Amino acid sequence: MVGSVKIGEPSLEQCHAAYAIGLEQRSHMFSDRVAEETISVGMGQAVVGRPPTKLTAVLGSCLGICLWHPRSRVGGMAHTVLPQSNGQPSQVPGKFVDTAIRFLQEKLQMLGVPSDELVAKLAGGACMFPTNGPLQIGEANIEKAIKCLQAASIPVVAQDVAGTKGRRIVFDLATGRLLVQVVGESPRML
Amino acid sequence: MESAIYPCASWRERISIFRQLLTSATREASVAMSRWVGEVIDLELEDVQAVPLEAVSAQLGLDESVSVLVVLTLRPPLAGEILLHFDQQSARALAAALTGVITQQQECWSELERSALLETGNILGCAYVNALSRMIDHELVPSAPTLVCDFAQSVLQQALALQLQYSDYVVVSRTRFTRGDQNLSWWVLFLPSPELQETMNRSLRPVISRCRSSV
Repeated sequence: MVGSVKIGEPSLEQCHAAYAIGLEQRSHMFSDRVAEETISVGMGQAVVGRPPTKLTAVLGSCLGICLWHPRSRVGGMAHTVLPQSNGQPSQVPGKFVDTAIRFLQEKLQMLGVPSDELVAKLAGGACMFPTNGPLQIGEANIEKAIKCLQAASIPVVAQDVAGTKGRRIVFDLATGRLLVQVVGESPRML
Repeated sequence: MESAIYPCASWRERISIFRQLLTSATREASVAMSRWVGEVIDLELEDVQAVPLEAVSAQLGLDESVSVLVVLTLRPPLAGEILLHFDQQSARALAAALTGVITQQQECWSELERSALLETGNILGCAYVNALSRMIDHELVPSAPTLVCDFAQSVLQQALALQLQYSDYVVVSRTRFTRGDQNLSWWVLFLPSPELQETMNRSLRPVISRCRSSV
């Protein structure tokens, strides 16, 4: 499919096709509006869109995975909660790191974006408070994302991960820039 | 909060059992809290819900503002999380009432304030856990409390991780506080693990069945 579609601004038909497929799965959205809007990406959600859309999320141990195609400026964000699905079915496409990355790739491919030209930015994966047992969810999310992106040949061009603080992020699809806000610290632009 | 969303009928019954257990635990926590702050504070179980994960923040009314949370973690096998949640102003006011010291700092918390809030979480959480433990006839062991000043959504995510390993829905109970006619901006969120949910479910189900068959 990738070879047969035109790269660039997605057509309305492509947008509708992507949206229709998304409806089959809970909480996937496509931003097809012309006016500038900011879409809040909740836990487990995955959203793709194009400028002037901005995607935003509040993260703790969750990991925000942002994929972007610099030429067409089409991109998406997944608000992932856990590292891997282990074959467990989920109605929310952004819940697991491994399946969320594949989901975003597929949705972006439907919009004519080839996976081999995508870049990734990551934020989140904190440890907000001491936990029971050996599994550190935030850390596991980061490790899994780096592994999956490596396997998909998508370079991680910037990241603001781990630590013990929550993050509010805003991903601007017009520029590919990722704003990271942490309580008590100056905002950072990735 | 908006009306509950249940994934299936058996959940509805399970939620009803949880509500009965947690209402009793809330009563005991009210008494402990009133003793600690030296005035009558009522805790009222607002709701117990099974909420789809992508809607949980909105359902609990958590926006992007910074909150103060005291976190108690229940140790496995019957794990879970108890979050005592305040807005910043309420946390300052409570700390000032407990310590008799009013601070003007906006971002930092003094050791005295931290101790007062941690102890509040400890007293409240232990009263809640002890009552629940007695009712389900299983030992529940809470960790030492941790104070976090951050986005409430960020803290909630980690607290939900245990439940989300098995389901796209989370069971969460929310308890509110009142002083006389005044609603306080404090909440307790209780997030039991699947194992603890199962134990709670088993503990009260026979009693309910007996009651039904005798009617």
